[in-house]
Amino acid sequence: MRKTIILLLLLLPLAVLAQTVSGTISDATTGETLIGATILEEQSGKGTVSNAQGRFSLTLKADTAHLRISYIGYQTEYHTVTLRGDRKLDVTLHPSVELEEVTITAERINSPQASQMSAIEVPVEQLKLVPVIFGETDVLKAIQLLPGVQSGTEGMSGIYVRGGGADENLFLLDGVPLYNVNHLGGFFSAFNGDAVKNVTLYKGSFPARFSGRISSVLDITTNNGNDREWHGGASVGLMSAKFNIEGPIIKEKTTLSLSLRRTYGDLLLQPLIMAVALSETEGQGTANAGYYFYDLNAKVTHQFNDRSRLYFMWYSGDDEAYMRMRTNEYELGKEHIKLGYQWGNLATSVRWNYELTPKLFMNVTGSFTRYRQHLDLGVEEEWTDEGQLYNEQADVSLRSGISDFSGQVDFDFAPTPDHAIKFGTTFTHHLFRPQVTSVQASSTGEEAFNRTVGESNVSAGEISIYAEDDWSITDALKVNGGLALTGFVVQDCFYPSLQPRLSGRLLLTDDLSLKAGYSYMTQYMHLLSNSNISLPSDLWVPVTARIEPMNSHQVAAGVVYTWRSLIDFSVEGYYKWMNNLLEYKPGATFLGNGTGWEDMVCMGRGWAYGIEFLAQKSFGDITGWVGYTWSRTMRQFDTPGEELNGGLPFPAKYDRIHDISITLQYKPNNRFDAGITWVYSTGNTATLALQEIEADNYYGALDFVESRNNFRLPAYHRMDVSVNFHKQKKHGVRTWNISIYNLYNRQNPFLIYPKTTYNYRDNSTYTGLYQRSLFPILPSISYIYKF
Amino acid sequence: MKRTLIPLLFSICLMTACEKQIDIDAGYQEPKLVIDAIGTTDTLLSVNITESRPIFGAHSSSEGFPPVTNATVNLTANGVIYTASREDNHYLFPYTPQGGDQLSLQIDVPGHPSVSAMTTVPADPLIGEVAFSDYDDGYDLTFRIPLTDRANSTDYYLITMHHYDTIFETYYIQDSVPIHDTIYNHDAYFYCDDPLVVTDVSVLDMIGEYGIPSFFGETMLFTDERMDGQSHTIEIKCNNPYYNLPYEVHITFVIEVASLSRDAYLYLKTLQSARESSDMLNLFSEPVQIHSNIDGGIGIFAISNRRVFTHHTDNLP
Repeated sequence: MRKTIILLLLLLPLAVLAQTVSGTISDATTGETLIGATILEEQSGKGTVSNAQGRFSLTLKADTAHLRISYIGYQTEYHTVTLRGDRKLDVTLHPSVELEEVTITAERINSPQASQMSAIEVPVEQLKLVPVIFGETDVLKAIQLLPGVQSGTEGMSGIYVRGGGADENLFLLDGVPLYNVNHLGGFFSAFNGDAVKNVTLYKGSFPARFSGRISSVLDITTNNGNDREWHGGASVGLMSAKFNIEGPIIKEKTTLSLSLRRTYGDLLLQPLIMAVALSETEGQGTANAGYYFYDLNAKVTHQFNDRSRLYFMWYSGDDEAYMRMRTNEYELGKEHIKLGYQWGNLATSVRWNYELTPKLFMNVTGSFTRYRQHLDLGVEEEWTDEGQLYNEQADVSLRSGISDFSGQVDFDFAPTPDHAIKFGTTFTHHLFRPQVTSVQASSTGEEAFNRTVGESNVSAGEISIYAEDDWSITDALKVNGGLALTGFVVQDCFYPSLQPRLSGRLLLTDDLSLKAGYSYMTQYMHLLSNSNISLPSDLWVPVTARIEPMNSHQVAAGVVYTWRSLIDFSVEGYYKWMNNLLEYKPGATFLGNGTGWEDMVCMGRGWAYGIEFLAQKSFGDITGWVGYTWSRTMRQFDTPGEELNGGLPFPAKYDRIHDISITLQYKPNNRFDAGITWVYSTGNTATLALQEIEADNYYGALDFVESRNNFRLPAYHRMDVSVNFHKQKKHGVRTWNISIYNLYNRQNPFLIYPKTTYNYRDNSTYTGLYQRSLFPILPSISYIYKF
Repeated sequence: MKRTLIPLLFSICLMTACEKQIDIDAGYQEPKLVIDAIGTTDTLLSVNITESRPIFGAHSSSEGFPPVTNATVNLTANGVIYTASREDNHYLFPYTPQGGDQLSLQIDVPGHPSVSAMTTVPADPLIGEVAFSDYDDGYDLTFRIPLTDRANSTDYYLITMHHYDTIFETYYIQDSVPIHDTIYNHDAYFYCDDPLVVTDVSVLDMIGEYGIPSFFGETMLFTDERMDGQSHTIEIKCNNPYYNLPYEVHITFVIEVASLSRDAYLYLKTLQSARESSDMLNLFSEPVQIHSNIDGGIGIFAISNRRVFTHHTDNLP
């Protein structure tokens, strides 16, 4: 911090001698601010990019500046500005699709000019052309198509970045962390595509402003909303319906953006379930059961003046599975069984942007985020015996969750065109509720039973102070260096961590650059999950006096090359070391997560290395990318008393050696577009007993596991296709989307298990290994109308 | 028609997610020698030898784990070599282990690579006199075991309980003589909620009768992690299995308290976990690797240095 202040003081004289142009870049038709637009002074070659609020600040020594402002998918604007003192310049860019000749221009995932290593600008517009199941544009699904990112088991939640675990990814929605980003076990993500404006994924070389997770940061910014006129859209698919609307509450002052999504399979199936229940109980019983999820994204933005803006963001999303059955039989009495399982997020924030000076920009944020899950089971019986009414009931409920209150102040400081400095601090109060189980039971004439067991809430404080500088040392050499100081207070323990970050780019030609980076990250919380299956019941727990924070060191280096301004190629290698990783001890079960969890886990280390290739075509009728990753991910738990695999190294569950994804989009005109995706990856590992032994006369045969994760499942692959037919209507555009998931009906393994069959003729048995697949070929159709 | 066709097609697609047999690509699994050799300090050392067998493939239902009968089994104890003789289904050495003995085992079986193992006999557990009391008119039985742990070492312990019962009940009359006494030997399930001893609990224990971390079973394994160098009295409880029954029973409870080597502790612990994880309730439990200290094979070679206590009680009608 001291070094940063000295650096700022050294840079101050330079700032005094020059003039600053500052302002906001936004869409000319909607007023939506544009993130990452390039502002370049053509004569000096100095430039900058707009920040997460669309703002930029460029300090120049010249009297006259010839500015070129460009953004993918928009017409480039040129402005000549006379500089006599600081100047304000707000620029609106027109979308290029307004031109008669349509040219697809997708965002570039990785370009030679960018200084940030291991960062992916997720092409949001291109996402809308990627084949999607049930017509749902999905950010997480698209990210899984990029090198270095792997999905979990099909139908299960989680992404795995460069050998990290599912809990090592920081998901930020407008700067607010979300703890569970999946619906329906990971088949849909919590990020409604209609609400998303910008997505950046960091796989390594993390800028110092991010901390708290060791493997990746997914930074998602949502739409502010159109500040000129009201627009919206609605869609209906086989699984879900969506609605979104955006527009000015006060024209060019206050905007609203609102998106709502809900699945309705439970409503459609209700009559069928009821009919079955009536039939099975001869008219004496009723039943309803189902599953649904919903998301609500809302954002209100108010612009006080050119220098000050206020944002209010709200997100809530829940999944619920439920079942209720009632029977009412004359002789047997009444029975009522109920089951409810609910889990979800709530995140909200208030953010105030203020331009203190043309060079110094401030963000003040207060936020709250919460993840919680409830499981309720209940049985009630009522009957009459000899005129006496009897009643018995039992209820079990499980509660767990985590909630955070945060306060954050961030500054953007651009003293010269060669420096883009960010610094700030965040304080978060965490409240962990690992798991509480309540049991209530009562019976006529007996004393009621009421007991609650589980661990009490754990409070913890987390603080982060950071400073980073995106520094153009020469035109060719640019570095992003920074330092984050974090600390975590829990159970009278304080865990400090000083985390250096560095990322650099050397531009060899305009089309070719070398990049390298290093980062050290610390994580103060763990997700306890069973290695066999990932469920919403997985628990977030903090580090404690016994369980130390996870940390990782990662180095990466690569080359980025653009061929004839048409195709970007990149090759990136990485090596990552991870410490204090947690795994359940052998035989531990997720049923016992709630109590004494520290006794059920062991700590170890891991390492991952790999090389990632990416080729992306961003221009023309056909766009898309091909990604390939070769990687290994290993674990070793050799602490005495906590050994796994006898203390020897073993491959992680998601150690997939080869990972390939091919994504192509075709858009010949505005009336039709199509997309195709093919993915392939080496199968997951699994622990499988291949021999059995007689270890105990009393108990008989026992399975013998030679080593952990000794078996590799069959490879995963599938192809998805989709087509969109668009038509201009009187008040908007309607789209029919037809998608086919898993086109060639590949039976990918979801679950493997041994099964023994008996042959009574020759008194023999046969044991084979079987797999269950989850999703066969799934065609879907959806209707979308945008106005 | 269209209204019903689309949901119908969708449902059919979901239902076609099916079961499929997959190939095992883990190489052919040669059977390995399985050694079961946990001796005690009060009996001659014996060794059981069997073979492992592949899980997958065709088997005869009558296939068990026949003992290996053509092995050459040698033991070196403190530099003295002993050769085992074959006794029924096991191999027996003319040697009784003592605390502190250094042992190595060598087994050769034609058609198998040689297997070997080493162990040191742990020191005897420092146990005082076990006290007994009963409550609720003899239904609840409590045993108090005073244990002094040795300081500055990691020590591993085992407590097991059995009861031998002589039941005086007339079953039938043979040659005018009533047959009325039957002797049974049972493992005794006992309960312990000592926080210095019980560290592993599951939610099922938590919501059970007692609501605090507890052990309930017939073999309790623990370490001195929470009582290193301390003198501590461990209290275990069980119920009189014949309480209130209308015939006479003489019960002898046998409590065994033993020091174990680390290998023996891990072997027994993982064996326990493997049994539990094969239960339906633990469908989602973590995989268990049974610990082994046999080079070239599977199993255990270790000595349990034990002390045995007995308590007699009569159950009168």
